[in-house]
Amino acid sequence: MRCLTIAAKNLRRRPFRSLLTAAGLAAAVAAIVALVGVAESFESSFLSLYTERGADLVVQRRGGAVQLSKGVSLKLGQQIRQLPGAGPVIGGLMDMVAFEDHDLFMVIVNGWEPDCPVLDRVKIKDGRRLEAGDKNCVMLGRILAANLGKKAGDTVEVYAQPFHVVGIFESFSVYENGAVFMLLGDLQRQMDRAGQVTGYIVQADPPGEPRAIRALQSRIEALDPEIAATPCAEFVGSLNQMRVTRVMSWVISAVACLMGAFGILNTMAMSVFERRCEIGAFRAMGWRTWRVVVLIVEESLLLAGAGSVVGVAGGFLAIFALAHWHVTSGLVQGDLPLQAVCEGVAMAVVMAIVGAAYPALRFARLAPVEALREG
Amino acid sequence: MTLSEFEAGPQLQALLDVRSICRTYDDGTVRALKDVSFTVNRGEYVAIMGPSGSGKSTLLNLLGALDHPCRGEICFEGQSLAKMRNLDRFRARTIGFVFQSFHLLPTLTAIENVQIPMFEGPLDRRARVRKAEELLCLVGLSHRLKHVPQKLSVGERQRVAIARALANDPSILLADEPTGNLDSRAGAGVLDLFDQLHQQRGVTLIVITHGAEVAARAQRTIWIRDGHVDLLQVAGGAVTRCAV
Repeated sequence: MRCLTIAAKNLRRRPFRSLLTAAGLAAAVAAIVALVGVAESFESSFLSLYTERGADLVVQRRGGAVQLSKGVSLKLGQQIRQLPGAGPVIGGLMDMVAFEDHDLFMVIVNGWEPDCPVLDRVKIKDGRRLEAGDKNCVMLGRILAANLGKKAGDTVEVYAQPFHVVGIFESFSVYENGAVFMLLGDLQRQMDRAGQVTGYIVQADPPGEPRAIRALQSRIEALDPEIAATPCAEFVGSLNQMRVTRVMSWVISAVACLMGAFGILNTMAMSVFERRCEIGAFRAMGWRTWRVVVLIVEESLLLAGAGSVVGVAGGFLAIFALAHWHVTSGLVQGDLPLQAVCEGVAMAVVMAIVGAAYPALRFARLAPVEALREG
Repeated sequence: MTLSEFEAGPQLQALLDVRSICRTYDDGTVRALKDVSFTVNRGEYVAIMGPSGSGKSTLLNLLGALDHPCRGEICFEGQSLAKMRNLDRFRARTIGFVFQSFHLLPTLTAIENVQIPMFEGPLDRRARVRKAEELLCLVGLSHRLKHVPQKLSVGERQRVAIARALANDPSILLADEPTGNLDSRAGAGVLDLFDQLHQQRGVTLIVITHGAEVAARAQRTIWIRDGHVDLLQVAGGAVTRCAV
């Protein structure tokens, strides 16, 4: 028999209470996994928009809390293309619109040049791609088309104007699958941003080479002091939307964690209090303080283990549900990042140790004779 | 036989030496033990008797290093318990406790319950299982190894508790009213087991009891009244001394 056997069997004494505590922990872990998972997925998916296209730098106007509100000129794109060490340059304009009738409030609209490689790299599921000369035409991402119930040949209202749906596409990115693509000229008109794009993604030559990227970064920034060329990962990490998502997910996770820790503290305190006489007997039989502490913490960790397994499963189900709910399906990918699982389980372990620490130390340090007398 | 010889018991090797111990509670207002002195020799079977509230259990707690005397000292093989650095180890290796209410873990089987003190011993997992089996055989429960306490009779539970007390081969077995919760038949069975342990294994037994039949089996009886040793009695009933 191991000490763990005693811990496991102790939990079986009050199965309903153990079950409820594990359920509370599972809820906390599920919340952490789902929130951190969504935040992580949000960030990694956004990053993949750049990295999958081989981009090394994102060029945008420096500063500003909301990047969408600022733009750079198309002329700058030409200047960047002519710089030594610059590879392909893709300029794009971006906006967010809502389709309120369909409860879709954060739909990305991208405006691309007709010859933009982005339009070539998406897979056309229905209809055709946008071409030069198209006017008031859009392509819809697969998820958005499904949510709006549109197919190639239909009409969709964007900016309170009818747009002809020329094609439905599928991208590697969940954002693009939930997005509207239109030609740059159309979007510039709608946004009143003639001659402007939101930014450029630039590949260094040779691509991915840190020294080349740094050199190109300096050259681009030398073109205009108001322009920032930022490595993709750094750019995505610094986006205010990402920061807010991260902070929100951690704040809610911390609250969930605190509630879980109180749940475990309550259970372990009750459980140990009920068994203080038994603990006194253990101490009378020569068990050292630390062994009693280990026993109590092990019980708590077992609860955390059960809570973690159920919680991770619950978190995954929550992410899966968000990825398939029409309101969020264009923003949330259905995968479960390993980091979210690790953070959820780590938090459960922290909750278990914090929750068990007080009753463990309180009762293990009780003199055996007092524990026996109190029982 | 002289008075000091009665106090010390037969001339065997001294194991426990209790020297003028006092124990008070509630800032000295309750005096549970007052100036108690006696010696227990190796291999002796000693009964401690007295009315309820006389200080028997307090004395047993002090002998088992569960509590400290306010004055005086208790020496084990000449070494003062107060000066021992690791009383947990002393309790684990030297003392075997048999509680009146057994304190068996209800979710563990008999063989698992017996292994509990062995966590503080030198045995590995397999050796612990083997030894627990041997001890349960010794107390006549070889057919009840996998039974949880609820499936055992009260007498059998006490036997499991005795096997558990023997887990680390203690020098002294301290039993607090071991037959107090048993019917007469089960109680007699436990006392027979004590006799067997005492005679065949040479275990030193200190048993707190209210029952004359327990005292009758002991080599010496120490009577406690109002917190002090009232009288000492050798087997056969000869009262040798009134302390106060």
